[in-house]
Amino acid sequence: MNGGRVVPLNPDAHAEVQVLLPWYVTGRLEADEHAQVESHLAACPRCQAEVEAERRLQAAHRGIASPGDVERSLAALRTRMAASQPATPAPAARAPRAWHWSGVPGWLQGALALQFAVIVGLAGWLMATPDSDYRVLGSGAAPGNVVVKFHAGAAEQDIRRALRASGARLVDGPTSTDAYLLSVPAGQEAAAIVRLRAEPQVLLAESLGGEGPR
Amino acid sequence: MFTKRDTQPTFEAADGVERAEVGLVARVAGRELDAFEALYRIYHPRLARFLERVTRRPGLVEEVLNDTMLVVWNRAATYNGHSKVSTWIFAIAYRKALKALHRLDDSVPDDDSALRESPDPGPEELLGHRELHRVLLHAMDALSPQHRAVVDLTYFHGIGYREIARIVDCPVDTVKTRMFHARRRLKTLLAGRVEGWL
Repeated sequence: MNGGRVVPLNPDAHAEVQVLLPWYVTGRLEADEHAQVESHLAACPRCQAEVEAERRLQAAHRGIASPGDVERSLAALRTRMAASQPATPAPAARAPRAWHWSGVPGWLQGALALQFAVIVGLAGWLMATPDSDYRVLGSGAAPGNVVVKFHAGAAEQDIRRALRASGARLVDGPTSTDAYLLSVPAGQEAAAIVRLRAEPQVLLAESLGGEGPR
Repeated sequence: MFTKRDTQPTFEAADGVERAEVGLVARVAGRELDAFEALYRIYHPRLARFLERVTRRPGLVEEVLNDTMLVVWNRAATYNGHSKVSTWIFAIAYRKALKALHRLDDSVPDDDSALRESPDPGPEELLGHRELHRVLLHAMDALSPQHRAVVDLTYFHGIGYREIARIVDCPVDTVKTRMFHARRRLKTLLAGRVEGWL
């Protein structure tokens, strides 16, 4: 493998290569990374042994079967989709975009209704308090542009982590519906909302400016 | 959300598959049910496996998998082609799995779920493999769902770390670190329980 070449061992290079070994074994490294690993392996018996261990670990993983029955699961999904079809109104009587609700399960409709209620409630609350301090905190204060709601059991550190991960700042709240108003730099709303939604303690995260992800 | 496509020179042969999947998603966006069911059948084995590994709760798999595919059905029009179809779908599944675990407020696996989900050995199947799988599954239980996701996406699904970072929505260095610690833990656990390991 090494062709007689001797590569000086560098602790940093060793560590860099070690973290890449799983993807070296699965053949998913870029060409330059692959060359870096090969070069290091030629001179590092520890990493050579590590590669063998990686191969065994990967083989053991791949030997475990996938669970489930595709036809049974698909039948269950068809039932859910059929059950969520609106029972009544004739197509002509529907609102122009009502077709969007076909195929949307009941729980999701409920969640969207809750989300809408929170946004409307928050907007109303903001308009009802035009002199609130948050609007005049200073020249550097950005207005709130994202509304977020956390699970009831969310701890302070969960909220802090969610805010830091999303680059958001708490502007106000909680509202009467336990929502919070966040400020996210312009143009970063969509990314912030995606990060907020990835946090397990976040119940909903929505843009007030309509610029977030769907 | 996704802005850059992985370049994986060793997997160029998969480009045709990717194009086919992109075509299916476009048809799903047009509300073509047969295209959706074709996509469902393609992804069911991979998603079932992934969700079982992440949640370690076989009873949750079908529900979360169908939640995931309902999002695909309803939001196919938002898929913009900037990421692989698999990245898009696995990212939805990952978020759904974590939410489901959170709803349960518990990520402890079902008792002996690993054994129930393991394939039954044929008469000639090596018992050594079955024992290794059993020990490996129990060792995986010692990892967090986030670590299990990275391990499974790497070893079983053969996905590169950049794409995994998009699926789990975290920096690539976090993916590397999670994998490093997970494999070290797995190797330690296996070395203590499987004769001749390491």
